[in-house]
Formats: sequence, structure tokens, C-alpha cells
Amino acid sequence: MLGHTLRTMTRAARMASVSGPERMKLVLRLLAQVLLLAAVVLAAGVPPVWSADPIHIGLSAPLTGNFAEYGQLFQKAIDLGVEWINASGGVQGRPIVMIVGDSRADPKEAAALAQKFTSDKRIVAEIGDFSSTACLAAQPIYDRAGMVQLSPTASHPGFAPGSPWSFGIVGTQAGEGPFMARYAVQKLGKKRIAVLHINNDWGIVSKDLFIKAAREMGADVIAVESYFETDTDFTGVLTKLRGQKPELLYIPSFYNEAALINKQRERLGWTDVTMMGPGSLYSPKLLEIGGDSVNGLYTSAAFFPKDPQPEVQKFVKGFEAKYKATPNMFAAVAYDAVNLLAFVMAKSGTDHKAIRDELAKVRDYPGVTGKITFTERRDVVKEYRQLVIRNGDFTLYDK
Amino acid sequence: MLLSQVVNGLTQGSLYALVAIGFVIIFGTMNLVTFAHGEVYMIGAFVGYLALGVYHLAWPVALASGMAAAWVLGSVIEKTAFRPLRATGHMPPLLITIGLSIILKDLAVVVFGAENRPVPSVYGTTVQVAGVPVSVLQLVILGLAGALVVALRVLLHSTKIGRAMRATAQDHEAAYAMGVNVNRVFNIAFALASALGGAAGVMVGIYYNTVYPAMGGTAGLKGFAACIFGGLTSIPGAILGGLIIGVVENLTIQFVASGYRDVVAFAVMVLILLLRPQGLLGKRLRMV
Amino acid sequence: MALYAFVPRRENRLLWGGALAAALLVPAVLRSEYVLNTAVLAGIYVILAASLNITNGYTGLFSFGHAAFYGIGAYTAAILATRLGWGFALTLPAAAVVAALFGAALALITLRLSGIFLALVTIGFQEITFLVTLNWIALTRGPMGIPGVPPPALGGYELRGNTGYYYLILALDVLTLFVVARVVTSRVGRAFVAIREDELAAQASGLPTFRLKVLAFVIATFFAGLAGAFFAHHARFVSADSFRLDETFVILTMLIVGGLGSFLGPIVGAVALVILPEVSRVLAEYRGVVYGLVLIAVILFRPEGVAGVPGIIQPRGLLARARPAREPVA
Repeated sequence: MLGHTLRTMTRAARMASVSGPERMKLVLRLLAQVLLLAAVVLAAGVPPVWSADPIHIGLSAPLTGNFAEYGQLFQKAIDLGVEWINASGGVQGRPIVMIVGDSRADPKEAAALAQKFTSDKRIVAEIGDFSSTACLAAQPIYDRAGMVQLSPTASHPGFAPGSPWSFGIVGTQAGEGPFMARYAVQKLGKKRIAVLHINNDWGIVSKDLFIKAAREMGADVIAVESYFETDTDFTGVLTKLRGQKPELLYIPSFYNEAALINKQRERLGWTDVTMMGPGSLYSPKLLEIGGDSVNGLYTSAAFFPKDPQPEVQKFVKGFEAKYKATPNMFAAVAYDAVNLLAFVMAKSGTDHKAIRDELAKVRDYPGVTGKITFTERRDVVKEYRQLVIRNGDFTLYDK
Repeated sequence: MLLSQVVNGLTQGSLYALVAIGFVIIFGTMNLVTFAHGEVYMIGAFVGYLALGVYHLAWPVALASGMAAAWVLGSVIEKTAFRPLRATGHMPPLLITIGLSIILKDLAVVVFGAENRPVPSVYGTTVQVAGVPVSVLQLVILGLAGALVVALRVLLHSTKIGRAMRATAQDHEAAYAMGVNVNRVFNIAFALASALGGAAGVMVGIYYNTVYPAMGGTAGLKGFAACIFGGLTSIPGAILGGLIIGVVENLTIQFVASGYRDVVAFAVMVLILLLRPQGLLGKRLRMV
Repeated sequence: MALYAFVPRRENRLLWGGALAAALLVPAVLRSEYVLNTAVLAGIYVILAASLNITNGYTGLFSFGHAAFYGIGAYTAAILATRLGWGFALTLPAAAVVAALFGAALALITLRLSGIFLALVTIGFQEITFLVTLNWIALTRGPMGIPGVPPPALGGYELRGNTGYYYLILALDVLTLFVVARVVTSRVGRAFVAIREDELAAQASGLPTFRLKVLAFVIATFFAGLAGAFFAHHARFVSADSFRLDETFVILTMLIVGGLGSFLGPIVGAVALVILPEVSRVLAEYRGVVYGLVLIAVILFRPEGVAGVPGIIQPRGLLARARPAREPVA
């Protein structure tokens, strides 16, 4: 066919010497052949499976920088979820395609990504970000544009209520704070408690809620110190806290600093204090970086890979098969997030407002991190497990 | 806990002092300010991290390789960026060091990533010194810093190259007239200063168990603040400045709030510049 | 006519009028939101570079604190907008005035120094401002930043897409450059240059050099604050780590590449360096390296930049003016 077209074209090239009606026929023939050729070429490029447009979902997460571990886990878990969703027919016959942006957990980047996603007409909803501060920075933009902002990990109690378009599925510190306080005060019997927290939205509110609950249970919070995200020197502040002789040091922080805090604490010779932190610490990286210094650290999780429930095991086995690593809570919530969206869109379609409304109505959705029911504040109430690090591994605390 | 904080401060201060001495050597010998010193320190730290954390070599090897890498980098910088501009004065080299600092930091981010790299622990034990718990690592760092300063003094006063450096610092034209290879002296001075910075970088990485591309920025500025104590030209002044800044920082953490610790160095710097720009140990400024 | 000598006047109104007309047509040609965003960014940096030019270029003062004033303007606008509900029409002048007040204060305290000592003290001020902003959580929300700054609403119509922002920044650019041109061609502007060239001689010929230097600072920081206000309402999120020494270095690089001490210099530098990393993916990834290399290349091969006054960066320069007494290295 290509040959035909070429021949017609060479004849057309000598058109000057051809008469009127002949010329017309030549042009029409050329046109028809070119169109046919184009159709064949285009058809060859189209993937054979789908006859409908894909559904685009935005992902804003830290793929590089200090929180890269978390963002990359989001991406891996979501890719697994999307693979399975698409393999079983997609949503209303349409495949899901993720549009991924690297926010570096930097609130400015998250806001910039929000601008980008909300001006992209294909994107129907957004999953992200990792940190509460980044989510809060992006929130006004999603709110203005009317796009669902589903964060797998924002646990600041002010996030979800801040906009009718914002949803959080990891539970808030309003739930985790008292849980950790119970663990520290009632389970472990510690009465003199000091707190060292990261100085951002999440850290401040975690500290406040933990302290309030601990005091109500009769503990004495004798010292509160904070550090900035980029700080790496904790010797001064640890020395100061040590001077107050607390029984337990509660550290609302992320795994990077928690590891440094523990290494420096150990090196200062301060080994007679119990260390505890919220579920943000539950990551294999903490073990890798912290080494021996994090043995004996108490923490929590809403997701435990050895949970025998079939949904959980399917996810864990699938993740292990694809990535040769056991998923942790961060992978699990991201997996839940994308599945939840798919579940909702099967009923609501892709209109932004319809997705939001249907999402708000979700009751008892069986996620791998537990049942998901949105309160009228659009966050969820979670159940946690008490964990402790022994011999370089996270184990359930069962005494 | 007060004495503990003082020990913390002296340890950190000795590391600031090493960076500050580097500035003094460069300014004293070549009359140049470099804004790339912090990044040389950072590169030294990363080389130390690679040796210690990735290749699992002993920490003295890590220290030596960090210093060697910084020496080489300093020498290259001097040869390519400062020598061609020797005749043009002070501004162009300063701006070039700004360019270099931007480049080195960005390269580090591209090659290593922006996140903190974990450095394995060295000397994790603690001892009691006069009733104060002191980490062995702190003692090691103080000892090393002291040893480097002593070595520097020996170099400057008892070796031929050291005398050449001092002569060049006093009057480089006269030194040239007396047969000193001024170009070579400048190069060695810059490389030496860089090596000291690299040593500080490696030790900081070990002390805090982490290295990251942005670590050079604040360290460089604090080093500057410390060397202002000596009016930019006095090594004892730089050492004193570094130690004082370190101790006051930790006392600020103890008695004020940890968030304000970095303000100390800059407040000190601004106050000295406003009240006594020649530094506490320097001579009167001569306005040319 | 040499590039560095160009100043918009009535005589050459065809030239700059034409440029302005072309600038007005940009959104019609470049439709993409993303490309227009780059244009808006360029507009912001034009103001920043042009204002830095007043102190560092025309007057020869070595200020490294520019980003702090940019930040003071941005935070002022953000705080007034989110706490008091002020609109852009109010936050813009407020931010500029507040920044200028800080500029005046800093200038009055520190302009006794010169050369490297002035540079160091402005760096100290820059970092102190950053740290205070980070710690004064009650006012600035510290490391959490201030989200939710509303877009400018001009007469009930709220700016949405980047086209509106582009025209707004273009208007602000015209305003800034107009003022700069007037200052520079006036007696005050010539006095600035006299101070740069030989402060002692300027003093001897009766110029109130200290007051003039303070004035240069006030003008520069006023416009830095102006740019900050615009930034706050455009990015809609303000956080302290956008306004550190790194940012001053970026602005300074743009100014040097474009050329110090001339009208066109900052414009050329800002536009070129904002666009350059966008030209290719590779360049964007290595943005820092590119900026550093360009700066070094300019200093080595053409220190006056593209459109700067030749000789500003020269042997008898700013550092030479304050050389402390030499003493042997201990």
C-alpha cells in the first residue's frame, strides 16, 4: 500500500502537465491512500486491550529527599494495586493510570504539584501527600479547584476537617496520642515522661495530644523539647533532657531523626531511659540506620504483616512477590487509598464532585489496615497494635 | 548537666575552629574570602562517609581520605579558579567561589541524593571525667583537633614551606622578591586550609552519624563567624572564636531553647562586626 | 549604543514601547499554563535583580541580604492576608513598606562598614532573619509556613490562571523599572555611581554619602518587599526556607550574568536564568550546576556580564577598600 501511495505521489508531482478532471481524480486518490496509510499507522500504535479512556489519578509523594523511603513505598504499593485493578477489568471498563509527582515532602512542592494536578483536565482525584504539613499546604488549592485530596498518612486532626475535599485514612493523633499514652503510662507504668518532638504541624499536634492524655492518666510530663526537620545534632538537647531524669522519652518524629536521636543518646551513655514513638517510626529503615541503639524502642502500628486476615495476606504475598520485601504500614495505607478510590469510582463515575460525595459515604470498607469508615470530619478511627523492637526486629508487645 | 553541655560545646567548637582556621589561612595568605569552603568540608565528609560507611574501612583511614580529597579539591580550585584571576583583585574570586559552592552542592545532591546518609557509630562508649559523663568520641575529636592545630603550628614555624607561607602572608611581593615561589605557596595554603575543612567534615559526620549535601552551608557561615573573632587573620582568634561559639550554642540549648542555637553564631558575628570589626584579637583595620 | 548605556527615555520610546507591546502579547502566543508560570517567575526575578542592582550595581554596596527582604515582604503579605483578611491592593504596599523599614534599620546600623565586612554583616542579618522567622511560631507558624494565601482579587474578579498573574507581574515590572529608570537618571542616581567609583572623592565633593547609601538600601528593599508580596499571593504558600542565602546567591548570579550597574542587565539576567533550566530536562535537573557554571564563565571571560558596565568588577574593588592590617599568620 505504501508503494501505491508513493506511485500516486510521484504522478501527482508531475501534475502540472495533467489536465483538470484528471488532476481532481489524482488528488482524491492520493488523499484516500494517505488517509488509509495514516489509519493503519495509528491503529498499530494503540494498545490493543482498552477501548475506553484511562482514568487518571494524581500521586503527590516524596520520591526523593529525606522521606524518599515513604514516598517510594506509596508508589510501589499503588502500582501493585493498580496492576490488580486493571487486570480485573479496571473501573467501569477503564484502566487506571497514575500521574506521579515528586513532592520531596516539601510543602512548597506539594502546593506546586497541586496547581499542576488541578489544571490537568484528565486528573479526577489525588492521592497524597505524605506529611501533614505538605497536605495542609496543598489543601487550599484542591479545595478551590474541587478535587478530592486523599492522604494515606496525614494524621493531623485539623487536616481532613479543613476542607470538604480532604480525606485521611490513617487515623489521627487524636486517636494515636491517647493510645500511646495508655501504652506508656498504664501498660509500662512510666510516670515521669519527657517529650522530644519534630517542630512541624504533625509533631506539635502529636505532642499536644499525647501530653494531654498522659497527664489525664496521672503521669508527670517534666520536659518538652523540639527540633527542626533538618537538625542532625541532638547531643545538646539530649543532655538537657537527661538532666531532668525522665523514665520515658516520647519522640514524635520520623525514622531518620529517631535513628540519629537514639544513636547519639546511646553514645552519650544515656541508656537508662525507655524510648517510645508513634507509628511514624514503624519502618525497616529505622532498624537499618538505628542498629543496636533502637532495641527496646516501643511503638505502634495499624497494620501488621503477620495478620492472618485473607485480604492482608493477599496484599503481603503479592507485595513480597513483586518487590522481594515485606510491606509495612506506609505501603498498606497507600494500597488501601488507591483501592478505595477505585471502589468509590465504580459507583460514582469520574465526576469530581460525585467521587467526593461517594467517598464521604464509605462505611466499613475492608482495607488491609482495618475497616475504613469516614467520620463526618472525613478522617477514620483506627485500631492500633502495641509493638516493641527486639533483637533488631519489630515484634508485638504481648506482656 | 552544665559541665556536660560545656563538653558538648567544646567538641563542636573545636570543629568550628578547624573550619575557621581554614578561612584564616586563605585570607591571611592570599587575601581572599572563599564561599566554597563549606562545600569542600561537605565533600570531605562524604568521602569519609564512603570510606567508613560504604567500604567499611577504619575511621583513621576515613579521616585521612577525607582530608586528602579535600586537599586535592582545594588545590584544583586554586589552580583553576584563583590563579587565572590573580591580577584582577578580590571580587572576581569571591564570585567564583559562590559559583563553585552552588555547583558542588548541586552535584552532591545529584550524585548522592538530598537525604541524610547514615554514618556508622565509632567509639560508642562513655567515661566519667571528674564526675561528668563524657563520650569517648568527644575526647577523640578534641584530641584530634588539638593535634591538627599543633601540627599546623609546627608546619608554619619549623618548616621551610611554613616560613614561606608566613612570609607571603606578610607581604607577598617582598616574598616573591626574596625568591619564594608565591604561586606554589598560594596553592599549598589553599589546599591545606581545605584539608583542615575536610577533616572537620569527616569528624562531624562521625559525631552526628550523618552526612548530607546541605551540611556545608551553615558550617561555613559559622566558621566565618568564628574567624571574625581574630579579625580574619589570627589563628588563635579563630580557635577561641570556634570554642566560644560552640559552648554558647550549647548553653543556649540548655537555658533558652534549642531552636535558637544557630542564632548565636550569627549574633556574635554581627556584634563583633559592628562593635570591633578588627576582631577581639586583631589589630586596627587599615582602610586603604 | 552600548547595551549598558541604554535607559528608557522619551527619545527611544519606540524601542522600549515595542518591547512592552511584545511582552503584552506573550500570553497570546504561549498558551501553556506551565510556560506562563515560568514567565511569571521571570517577572518576579526581574524585580529582585533590578532592586539588588541599586545597591550592589549602582552604588557598589556589597549586600548579601536581599532574600531576607524578599521574605519579609512575602511574610508580611501572607500574615496580613490570612490573619486580617487584607486584599492584595493593601498587602502589596504594606509589604514593600515593611521591607523598606527593615532595610532602613539595617542600613543605618551597618553602613559604616564596607567591602567584605558589609557583606558578612548582611549575611549575618539574612540568617538571623531566617532563624527568627523559623522560631517565632506565634507570628509566622515557623517551619509549617503560612498556607492559604488568597489570590489577588481585583474588583471582585479573582485571579485564577497564570495569564492574569502574568499581566499583574508585568504591571509591577513596569512600575519597578520605571522608578529605577527615573532614579538612575537623576542626580541621586549619579550620586550613587559617584559613591561606587570613589567614595572618598564623593564625600570630599560634598555628597552626603551615608544618607545616600541608606537611600539606596531603602529603594532596593522596598522593591524586594514588593516582589515578596506578589510571590505570596502567587504561590499561595509561604515558608521560611524559600528566603535563605541560597536565594540571594541566585539573584546575585542573575544580576552578574546580566550585568551590574546598567538598566538592561538585571532584565537580561533574570529572564535568561529563569528560562535556561526550562530549555531542557537535563538542565532542569542540574539547575545548580548550570547556574554555577554560567556565573564562573561570566566572571572568567566577560565579567561585565551581557549588558553591564565594564569595570565594576575590577582590581580596585570592594574588598580592596577594607584591608585589615597585615600580621603574620600565627
